[in-house]
Amino acid sequence: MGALNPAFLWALPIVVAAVLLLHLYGRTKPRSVLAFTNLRLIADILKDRQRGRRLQDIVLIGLRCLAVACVFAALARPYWHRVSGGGGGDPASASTLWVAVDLSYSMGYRDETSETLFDKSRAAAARLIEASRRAYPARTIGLVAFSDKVHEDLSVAPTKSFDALHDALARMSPVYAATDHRSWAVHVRDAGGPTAGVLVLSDLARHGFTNAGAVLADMPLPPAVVFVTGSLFDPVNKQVSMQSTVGERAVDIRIDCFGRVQRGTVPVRLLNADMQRVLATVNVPACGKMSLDAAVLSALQTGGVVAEIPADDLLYDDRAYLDIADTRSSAVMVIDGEPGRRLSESEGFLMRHAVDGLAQAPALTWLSQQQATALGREKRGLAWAKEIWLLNPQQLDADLVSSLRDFSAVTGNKLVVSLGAKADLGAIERITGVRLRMTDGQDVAGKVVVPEAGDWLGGIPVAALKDFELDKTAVHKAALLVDEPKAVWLRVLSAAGAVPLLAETRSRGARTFIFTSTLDDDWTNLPHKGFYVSLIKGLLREPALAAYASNVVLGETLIWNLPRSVAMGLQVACASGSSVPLSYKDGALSLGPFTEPGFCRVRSQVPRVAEFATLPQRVAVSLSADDPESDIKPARHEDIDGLLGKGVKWHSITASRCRQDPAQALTLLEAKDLMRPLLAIALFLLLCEALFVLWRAYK
Amino acid sequence: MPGFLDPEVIAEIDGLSFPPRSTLLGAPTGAQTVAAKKGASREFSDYRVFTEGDDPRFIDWKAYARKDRYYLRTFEGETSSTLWTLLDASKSMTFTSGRVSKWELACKMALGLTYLALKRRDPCGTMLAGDGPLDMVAAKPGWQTLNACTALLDGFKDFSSLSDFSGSFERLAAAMPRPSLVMVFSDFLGVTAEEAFAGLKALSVRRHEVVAIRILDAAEVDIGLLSPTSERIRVTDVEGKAAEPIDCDLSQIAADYRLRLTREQEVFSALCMHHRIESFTFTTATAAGAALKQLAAWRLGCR
Repeated sequence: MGALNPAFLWALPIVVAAVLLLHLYGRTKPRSVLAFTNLRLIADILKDRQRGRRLQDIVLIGLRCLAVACVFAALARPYWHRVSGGGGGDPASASTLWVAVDLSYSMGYRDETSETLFDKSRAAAARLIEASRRAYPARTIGLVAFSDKVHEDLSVAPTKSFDALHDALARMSPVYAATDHRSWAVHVRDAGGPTAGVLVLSDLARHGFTNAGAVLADMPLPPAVVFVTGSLFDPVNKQVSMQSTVGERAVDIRIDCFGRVQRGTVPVRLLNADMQRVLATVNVPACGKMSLDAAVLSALQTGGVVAEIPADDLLYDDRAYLDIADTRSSAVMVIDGEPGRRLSESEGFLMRHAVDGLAQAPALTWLSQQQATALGREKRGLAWAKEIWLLNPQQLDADLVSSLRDFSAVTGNKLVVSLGAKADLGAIERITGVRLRMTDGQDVAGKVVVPEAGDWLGGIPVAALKDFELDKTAVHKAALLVDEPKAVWLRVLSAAGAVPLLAETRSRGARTFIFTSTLDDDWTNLPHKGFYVSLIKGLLREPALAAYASNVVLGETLIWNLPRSVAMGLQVACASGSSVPLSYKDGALSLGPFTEPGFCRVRSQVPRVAEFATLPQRVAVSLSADDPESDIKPARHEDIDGLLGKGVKWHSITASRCRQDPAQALTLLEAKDLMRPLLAIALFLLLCEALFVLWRAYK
Repeated sequence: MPGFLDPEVIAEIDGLSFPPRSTLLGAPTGAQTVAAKKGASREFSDYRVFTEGDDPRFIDWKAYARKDRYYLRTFEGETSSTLWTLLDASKSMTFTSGRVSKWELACKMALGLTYLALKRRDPCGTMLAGDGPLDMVAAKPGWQTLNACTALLDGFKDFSSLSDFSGSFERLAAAMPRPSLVMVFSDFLGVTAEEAFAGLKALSVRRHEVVAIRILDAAEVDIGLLSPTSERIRVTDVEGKAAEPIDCDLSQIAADYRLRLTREQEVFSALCMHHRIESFTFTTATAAGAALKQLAAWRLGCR
């Protein structure tokens, strides 16, 4: 008989005494005093009543004290040492004790004692082996090194050679791999033979138990398992999260800790969406939250904020960047430069009636150019919009141009401009910062050049345009973008001769799409009528900000299709500072393999390259493809039961306690946990007390 | 504060009669003449033939002249009876849960009875008692007695004494030299039924006609009225007799209290009846006039 947490047993008399004192002196004191005449009769009545009630009170307080005592006894985690059927308790038995050591990445966690979890578990393993050798001389010991698989080179078959065991322990170190507890369980099961039990030294992260299917329950005599862990009660992990509700103007940075609270604060640098400018530096209380200041809120209104947390200030691998995304639904404003000139040919008409996607736009406002001009003259008239479509603008008013120019300067906004034959090129140049020119159509004759790889622009297919030739139509006059060598744009669709027809630019903060909508007066040529609907849908789906993150599992490689000029300028660095290997071949940039968990940052050595805007600017490398949070959540009882099987008894004990008293872990292999029976008794007693109180009230 | 001699009550009971228990019929002769000598009123009742031994003063000579026989005039004579009103002046009588206290009702009733007795030219007296005689107005006929009794009751403020009838009634009885009608007003709460009866018995054995009038507050009958909700309250003794206050939920013991009070009342009534002591119980919810009418009706029934 023993207890894993004997401190609770010491506290038990105090708690029982406290319950008694509460019962005796904790009665509610009368709030009002009344002078009465016939006190003699009242006293007689109470005296008669008190005779039976005293006995009931004794029964009640007895039940209460017993229930509390049982709860505290259960918290003390008592166990009853028994001689198991597996022969584990017999010192002369030649059974095998298995010691499984977790080498996963999370075991490399280093707390403020500057000792990693693995260091602790290795020391505990050494003490356990030594204790077992003394207590059970006839027993052999097997060592299993595992992460997501068993590391055969570091594992030791059952042996009595303790030097071999210690040598293997000395050679072990954490690896960049996830945990899979199934690996050691299968190893032990397949080894066969009489098993005295398994001691698993792990942090008990939840993802290690995600593989379903009982393993050890299949064995003829299922061994007992003791998890020597640092994560159940020791400080292990913390999680950093950003909570963003910009619409409500309450944006918090929260750091959630698991286990013990980490003292001090964590400095967080907040950068704008392009990570070019530091907006603010805030100190977030560990395991707490901090509201952002007005400057950051303002930045959030205009786009996104990236929080950068210095690696040294985090205990786990969430040490890089976290986006605070704008969760507002985009407000779309459509300014139609030629509404209803000829309904069947108007872009506005088509958008309104033919494009299904527009019906799903949350806030869609249609304005004629005159209405928009009036709106533009108002102060902040366009400020509410997050997305503006400028369809065939003609003779734009100076105030409207000024408003649109302000709009296009805001990061996080989206501007879509279609160029008709009568486009006001000068105004559009002032708004977008992109040079335009008119063409008579001769220089664009030929096949349309489309991107080769897959889908683009909101996932629309481009195969329909591949064989489209512009010279099949009569092109008289069109507005085209000037293809300059230093142009800051991304050509999406080009005519023959590399004349851009559809381009994206981020030269002025907002993500801006410009495309040539009409190459003749009849509006029949480009874009092709059938393709036009897909194009509009894709442009609508395209977000104001490009995706900034990409996820990859540790050890895997990413492939990005990029022009050589862009790919050669990229650099990918992990949190530790090490670079991720890159290789370019046939238009595909290969990144990785990623060998370090955490977040890696993607940088371009060439600033203001439009193509870079579409690339993920950070890559999250996780240990497991499962729930990313499983790395920092402790395993649940049902997870462990699911893996080991219902017939397998298991206990857990902290690594620190195991180092102090390794014999206790060995005893647990043969012990019956009394916590649950005691809790059941406590529950029963509390139920009895409740029934007793009800009966007395009824009586 | 208006006095206890309430004009409304007096107007209500003015037509009532509160005669002594026994009325004497026939000529006030022999032992029965005692009352007549004391000045009781005489009203002609009948003639009867003179017999030897009769008082010749009552011979109707006019009838002799007409009939040539001696006839004697007989009268319906009334005995004069002294009324003592004995009021419990302990502090418990001041307890009230409503507008009227037990003391107020007792005083109004006592003065009403005094009024009715003085109307009959009976001598009346008033005594205040606690754990001993406190103050008194000697029994005398005449309206000045009513004034004296009213002044005594209106001016009495010293309610500090305890209820201890067993001790005080012995001494009170000594102050009443001849058998009288003694109306005792009290709540009889401070003592048990047996102790209360013991005091009354001390009067009864001296040939006084004793009437016990128990006056209770409505809340003393139903203590649930004091605390309608289930709540623990601290109850202290009004008279300060009990050393320790009691913490309890009155609503929980209300039913038990009513039962025990009724039982005690029954014991008290049975003891009184056994010793020919009349007992009545009124609550402060009863108007003084109505209570007096009830007493007058009972008195007439006794004739």
